[in-house]
Amino acid sequence: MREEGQISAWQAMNLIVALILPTAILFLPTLIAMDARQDAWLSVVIAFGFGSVVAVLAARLAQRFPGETVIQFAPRLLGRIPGRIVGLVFIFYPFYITFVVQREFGELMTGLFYDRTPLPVFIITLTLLAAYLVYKGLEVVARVNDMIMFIFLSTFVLFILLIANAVRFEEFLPVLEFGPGPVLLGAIPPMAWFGEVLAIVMLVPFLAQKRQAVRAALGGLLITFAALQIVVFGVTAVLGAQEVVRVPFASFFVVRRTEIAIFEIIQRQDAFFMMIWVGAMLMKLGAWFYLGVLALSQWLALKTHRPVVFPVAALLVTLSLVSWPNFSVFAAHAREAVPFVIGFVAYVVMPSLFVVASLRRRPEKLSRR
Amino acid sequence: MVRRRKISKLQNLRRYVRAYQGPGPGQLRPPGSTGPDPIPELPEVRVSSDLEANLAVLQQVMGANTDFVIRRFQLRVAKRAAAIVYLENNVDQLALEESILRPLVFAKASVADDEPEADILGRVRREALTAPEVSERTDLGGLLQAVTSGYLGLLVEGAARALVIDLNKFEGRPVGSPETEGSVRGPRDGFIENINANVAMLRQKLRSPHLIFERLTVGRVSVTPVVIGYVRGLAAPALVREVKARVGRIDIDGVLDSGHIEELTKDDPFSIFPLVLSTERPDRAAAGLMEGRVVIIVDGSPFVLVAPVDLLAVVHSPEDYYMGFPMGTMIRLIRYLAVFVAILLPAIYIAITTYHQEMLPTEILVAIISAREGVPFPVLIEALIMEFMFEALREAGVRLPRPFGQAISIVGALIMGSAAVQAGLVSPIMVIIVAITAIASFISPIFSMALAVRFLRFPAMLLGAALGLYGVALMLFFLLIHMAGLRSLGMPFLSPIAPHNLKDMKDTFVRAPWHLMEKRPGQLFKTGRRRLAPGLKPEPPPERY
Repeated sequence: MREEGQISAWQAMNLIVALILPTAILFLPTLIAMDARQDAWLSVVIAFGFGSVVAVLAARLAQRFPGETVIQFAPRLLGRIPGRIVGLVFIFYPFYITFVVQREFGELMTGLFYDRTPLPVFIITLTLLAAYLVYKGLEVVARVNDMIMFIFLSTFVLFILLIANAVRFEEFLPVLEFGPGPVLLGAIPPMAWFGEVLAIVMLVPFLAQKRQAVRAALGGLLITFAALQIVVFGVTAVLGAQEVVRVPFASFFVVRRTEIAIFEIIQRQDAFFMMIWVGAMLMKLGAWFYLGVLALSQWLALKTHRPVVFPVAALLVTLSLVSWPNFSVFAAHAREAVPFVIGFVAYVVMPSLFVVASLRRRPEKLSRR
Repeated sequence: MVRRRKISKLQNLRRYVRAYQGPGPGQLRPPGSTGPDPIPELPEVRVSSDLEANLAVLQQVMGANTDFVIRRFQLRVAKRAAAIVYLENNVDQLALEESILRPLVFAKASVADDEPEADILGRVRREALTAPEVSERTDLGGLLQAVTSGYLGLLVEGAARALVIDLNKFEGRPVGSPETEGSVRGPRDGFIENINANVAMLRQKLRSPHLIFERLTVGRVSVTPVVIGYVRGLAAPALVREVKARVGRIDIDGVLDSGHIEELTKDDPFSIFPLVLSTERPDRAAAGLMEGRVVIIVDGSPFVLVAPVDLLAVVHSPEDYYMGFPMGTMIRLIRYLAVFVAILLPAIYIAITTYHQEMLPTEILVAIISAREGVPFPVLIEALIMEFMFEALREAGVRLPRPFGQAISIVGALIMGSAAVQAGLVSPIMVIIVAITAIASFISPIFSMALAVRFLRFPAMLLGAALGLYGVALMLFFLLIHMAGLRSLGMPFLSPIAPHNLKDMKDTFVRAPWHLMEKRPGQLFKTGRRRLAPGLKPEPPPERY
């Protein structure tokens, strides 16, 4: 292992939250509600079940090769060429998420808060900041993440307080109106998001306590699940399933609509939520960006990840800007392609790697060749 | 020495004088020499047993100084010629006469005059000198160094060594209260410019024999004494080694204040945050010592450095620990809030009035708009003008002779307060914002942190004007990343927040009651962390008296 530093299980857990949650609360309520309607919360539960399987598989797989990331052990596991190809998958995967996230972020900022500021302004500024973060290395990423996630997660408590008055439980009825089918369909997008927990496979080598990898992954996933459930529950209860489908960023919409007495001085507190959410997006962007850059530098056998940070940042900014001409194309992509692309790695590639690793009997011999 | 140098006295002298005159104009530096340019190192030239030869060298080197004195006399103890050399303004003349000259000239010989050369100085020390601090030098460089540091040099015919006697007379101000770190409760004494006084002050606070002060000198021209203090058994040996190495490697012309040392030993010299705590308060330095930190005292500077520190310690005041813990905690929280206000308030005002007007209730918005009516500048320019005025006023207040201070504050208050508003240059609300910011920026108990806060306000304002609250958020997260990457002597600057350590949080945002703060900071102590006996919680006696 090279000098990337070490992180604690606690930090890994927070990283898992940051890797999944910030964008999940944006799109998922709408995406799930499209199929599952008022049973969205059930879809989230099902997806969580699938996600935890991925979490366990990924963590166990990484534990078989102590001190090595998937880029390093894949050639050993599968042979040189297939291993390198799998490595490419694990380079593309984080980068793909990164530039989707960049675009999501830019679209939300221009759509909701700054309608006269051009999109690239937000993408470039946040990416520069994320690049600076990534440049500082994993330890700094983890430390900053600890602080931001603490604040970010406490806003969910605030969210509950904000909506408490407007909750209408009758919005959840009837349960399973059209049978289990729509609920299962609705579970596909959150499954993809929860599948992002496979990032633990890249984090385990840097974990100070490697035995706690499974616990960290599951803990992070559980926190994500709870937070997402709060949002899904909240938007459904406040807006009703019909309305959720229509508004693009349901969670912000709810925050914008509600006002509470103690905040009368500041009306429409969504700008403050936005500031905190910017931090969370910074972490989602930064953490995936870091994982991608780390994978790339290991794939290229570089001594440190630093030289590739800024070139990759430029590339990702470009990709995020030119891949989709406008918001509706992007929204369609996010709805129809993203879940399957990121779900493919989580539910096909990762389990197959695990199966291969289990079939080859002696991992210790394998890892010391 | 295995290889003896065979150099005649004359050659010796020439070499020495040449070395002292330094490389003349046009002369190249000796190959392979590094370090600052003009001053050559003192060469190793041994003290000769020929008194006059020694004095000739000294005269050559130091003769141009009018305050350099060579006083020849007959040493009665040994019946030989002798001389003392000193700088007349730097030694205590009275002590010189009482405890040096008088005994040297009058003390009677107890033994015959043909005693071996080696023991002459020993006898002088034993039988004639009454000064307390006496040591020997065998080379002229060392002797000169001592003389220019305010010591007295004693040379005796036939002795190939010299005695140096501490007669340093320091003209300095008496111990006063700290200028930048006042407090209501707690000791009022502050460090002064004299290093010995500062060391003594710390000794008075911590009387344990485990308190160690090691002395180094830094600077080729200034030759400044620097003392590194720590408590043996509390400070990690590796930490002490690191500090000594960092201070020891400084090779510079001169050190005039601990600021030099601070900057040259900082982990990240480009950071605006103080990665070393500079304090004027002995109690603060002593508290640091007891937490296993290292202090660096620099002669001539009333600011003592304490390292390593973390961000939150820089916002704490020793007073927090002297008041009861509820008050201490409350004042701490006020201080944190003030730091945020000082950095962000103008930026948030600019951002909200420019981009997020919908966040304000209509009445406030109307008030702001009507106040800004007639103001010719955008909010950013308005804010920059006022902030500049304030910073200028503050700087002027420091530089001005004290009697003018009153005048400046009246002029400033008039200009900033009413005239600018009446003239329609700025809005009254902006004056309020700037005033609140100004008050908040004075709350930080450490000067170097207050400076950082002052500095940060400007990028925050620019970003707030450019991108609204998003810009402010960008800057906050930039700071967070920057600080999370900082280390103070290798210790994470943001500990115990990140990497987080719940047990150490007792002394961060809150100040826990003393009987609960059982452990020393975990960053500096892996083991042996208990600082207080268990069960110290005070309780009323079980029965009435």
